[in-house]
Amino acid sequence: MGRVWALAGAIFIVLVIFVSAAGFFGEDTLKFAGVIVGAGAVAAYLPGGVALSRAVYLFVGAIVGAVGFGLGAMAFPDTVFGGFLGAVFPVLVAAIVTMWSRKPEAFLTMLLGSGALGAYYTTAFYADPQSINYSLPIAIGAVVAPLGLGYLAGALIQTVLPSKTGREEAELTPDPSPPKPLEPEPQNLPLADLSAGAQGGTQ
Amino acid sequence: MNGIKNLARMSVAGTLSVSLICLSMGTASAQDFPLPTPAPPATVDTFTGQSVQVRADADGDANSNLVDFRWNVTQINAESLNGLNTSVPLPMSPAPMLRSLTGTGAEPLPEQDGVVYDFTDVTAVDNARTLNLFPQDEQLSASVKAEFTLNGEPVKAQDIVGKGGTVSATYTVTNNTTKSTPVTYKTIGGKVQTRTIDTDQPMIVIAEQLNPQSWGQYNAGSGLSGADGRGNYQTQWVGLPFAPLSKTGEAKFGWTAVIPEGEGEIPAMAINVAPIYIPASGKEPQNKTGGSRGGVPGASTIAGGVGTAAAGGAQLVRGFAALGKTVGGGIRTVEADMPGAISDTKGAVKELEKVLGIGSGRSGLPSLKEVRATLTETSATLGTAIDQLRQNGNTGQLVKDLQGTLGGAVDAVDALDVWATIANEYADKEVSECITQVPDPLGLKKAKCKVDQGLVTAGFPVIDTALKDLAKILGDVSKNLPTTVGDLEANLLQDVQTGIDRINDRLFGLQTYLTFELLPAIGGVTDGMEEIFGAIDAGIEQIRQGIPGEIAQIGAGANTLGSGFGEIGVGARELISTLMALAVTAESDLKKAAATVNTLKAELAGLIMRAGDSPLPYGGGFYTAYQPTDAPEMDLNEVSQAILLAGSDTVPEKYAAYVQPTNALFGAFQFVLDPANSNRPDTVPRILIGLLGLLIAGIAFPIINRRRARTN
Repeated sequence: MGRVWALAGAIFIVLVIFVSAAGFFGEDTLKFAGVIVGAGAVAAYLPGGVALSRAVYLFVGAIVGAVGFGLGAMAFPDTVFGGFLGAVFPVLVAAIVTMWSRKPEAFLTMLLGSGALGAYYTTAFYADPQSINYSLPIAIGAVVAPLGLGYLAGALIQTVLPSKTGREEAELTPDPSPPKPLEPEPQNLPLADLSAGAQGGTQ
Repeated sequence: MNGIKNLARMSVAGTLSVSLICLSMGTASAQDFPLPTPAPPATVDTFTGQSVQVRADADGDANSNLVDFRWNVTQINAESLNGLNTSVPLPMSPAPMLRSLTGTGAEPLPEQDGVVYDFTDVTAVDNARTLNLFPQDEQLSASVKAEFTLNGEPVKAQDIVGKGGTVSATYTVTNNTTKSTPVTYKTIGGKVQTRTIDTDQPMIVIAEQLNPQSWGQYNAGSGLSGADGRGNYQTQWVGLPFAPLSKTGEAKFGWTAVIPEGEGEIPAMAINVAPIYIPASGKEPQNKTGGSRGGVPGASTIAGGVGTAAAGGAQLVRGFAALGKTVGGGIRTVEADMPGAISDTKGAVKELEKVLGIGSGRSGLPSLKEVRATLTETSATLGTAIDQLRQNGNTGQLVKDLQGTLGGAVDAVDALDVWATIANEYADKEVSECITQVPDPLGLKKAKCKVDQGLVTAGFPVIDTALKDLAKILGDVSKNLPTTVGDLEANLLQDVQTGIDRINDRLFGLQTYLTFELLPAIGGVTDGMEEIFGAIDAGIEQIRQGIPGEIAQIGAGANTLGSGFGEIGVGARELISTLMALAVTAESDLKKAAATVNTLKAELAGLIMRAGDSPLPYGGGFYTAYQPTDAPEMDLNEVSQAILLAGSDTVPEKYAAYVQPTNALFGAFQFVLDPANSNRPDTVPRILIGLLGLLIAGIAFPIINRRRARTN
């Protein structure tokens, strides 16, 4: 119970920071700040725990997501298919990049980064080619900041209130189901000594 | 960002609305923009649209964020019912990053001098869309600049953000197509002349911006404003950046406002620039073989000087108000031909302005417009006052006020009478000078001057008498004002209104007299004027038909422009009439005035010629290749390459049968200026903050965890 509230509190504080500094982070950033901060915190709680490589995967994921949407917009401007391609590309690149690590959590971390960027980009911009060099840097800035602070919040709680599994231990509760009746254990019968020749019967 | 999206949505909605309104205009609209009569297709119809999209910051610096990305989009429709093959060559060279947006069919084929779009077996409507970067080292036909002031001081857009004060924004669209063009035209005297002048490709500018309602004293100048329902003024500007309308080839527009402290911002601006394209009347394939560039209007149109005055007539949208500038502009060109003529002509124009009470050279005499305005105001005031009387009961003071107002109207008419007297004397004096000073060995000049003098002196007293009669009528009305409400309603208003109507009739009579009696009597120039009047009408119609009204971006603008041409015609006629009056009042300046008109004709002829230039950003696109059913099989790609190689020259004879003109060309330049507001993307600091968070979390906390584990 305590760790959950601590994590929620940390994310809440990060969001308050975003609201307070809306002039710096931009009003559009606020729209998806909750989702993106949450994605950063989730990254901290994936198996493997907090690590520099995890932070790098998150950042690279956002960059790959931006590149994906850029390519999608250039190939199929302002179309659903272009947006779809913008989402497909990061999935494949993330899989290729994290293949060597053999860790699904690395792949998932990159997807969190690219997914956060996709959520922001598709709602804040048109996927038209002329805005690529304008919109993509803005999108990266608007995603990396909440992603980083969310990851920081998750890492902080992981460090201050550590647990081996990343989950709070469940309290023991009595099992309400009635005990099953004991069955007699099967008896192991001795095997016949085949080397001694035929046994039983008449000679 | 939301502003840009809203602006884009608003543009689409606005265009749709205007389109629907145009559709609902029914017969009148159909007359203004006649629809083509459906005809059985013998070939393949092709419609080519192309535009360059430029993204710029609030100051108009294109793509200042990173690379100068200017995207060129091309859309082609091929329409046929006969299953014909066609090939559309466009001189898009170079076309970096060229790609198809349609996916299947009509794949663009980059060739040596352009790109070829092949359509096979067209039985309905096939289309192709491509995207490419516009060459970085090529200048666009139009460019945009934005300038701002804060409390009178020039500032950058970002310097206004978060501040307050009196802010002005000036957006300048510059036409970069100026080039020297030999122009052949017919002078007022009937001579055919050729002169090389600087001409611009005519363009329409339509700009749209959403400005906050919270701004005070918002003044959009020539812009048309409405409300978007979200707390913004939705303002649209229409500009015509080409000579002779604008000698500098610029269209300037903008706004001023008093912005509350802390609310300073520059909203996004969308500017569409569409070249006006007037296709040639003849579109037979032999045009190409004959060396014609297509698209260029026939020589007869230019030589006759008919359409010329019409296009330039747009310069005269403001009629009398633009008189000084227009004449001044023409005089600039006259300077080379007739040294010393400028000061004389300007002086004469100033003098004329004084007499007519227009322009800046006022003499204190009331102008005709002022008299009319006074009388109209009188009528309105009377109506209001009568309403008040009806509500509050009759009072002596109100009736006195009415009398006072009406007395003012009478004074105005008296002033008009004074004007007529002075004008009479003026004309008398000028004609006298004419008689005494002009060298005239044969005495013909003197004789003509005497005729003029007789006409002028005979004509003005007639008007003078009429105006005096009117003054008397109004004076009587004023004296006999009834004192009761019922009488006012029954008699006064009707009498006053009748008096006003009579004055208006006399004023129109004065105008008619000047135009149709006095001026024709002068002789010599009347025929030329009639030609110009005809030219105005024909040219306006020609331009109207040349407006690419189906382009969504200029739909609204075309409508505005279309209605504007009506005013243009009036303005042009007023200018010509004034020039005629100038000729009458100052005989010695007649030649100079004629030279001015001739210059104007030459400029307008050049304008019409340039309206035949391709509106596409890359130019060209006038011809396509197709496979006629009755001709031997031909490689259309080969024909297309021949068209590209030929440029404005003729294609080899063997390809002539396979070449046809393009049905329509639509071109535009679209500038999107990003906003400068508090939502400005501080991209780098944001990324740094994010990276800092990631690094701290990724480096510091694992170290802390390891130390803690070691301690345990």
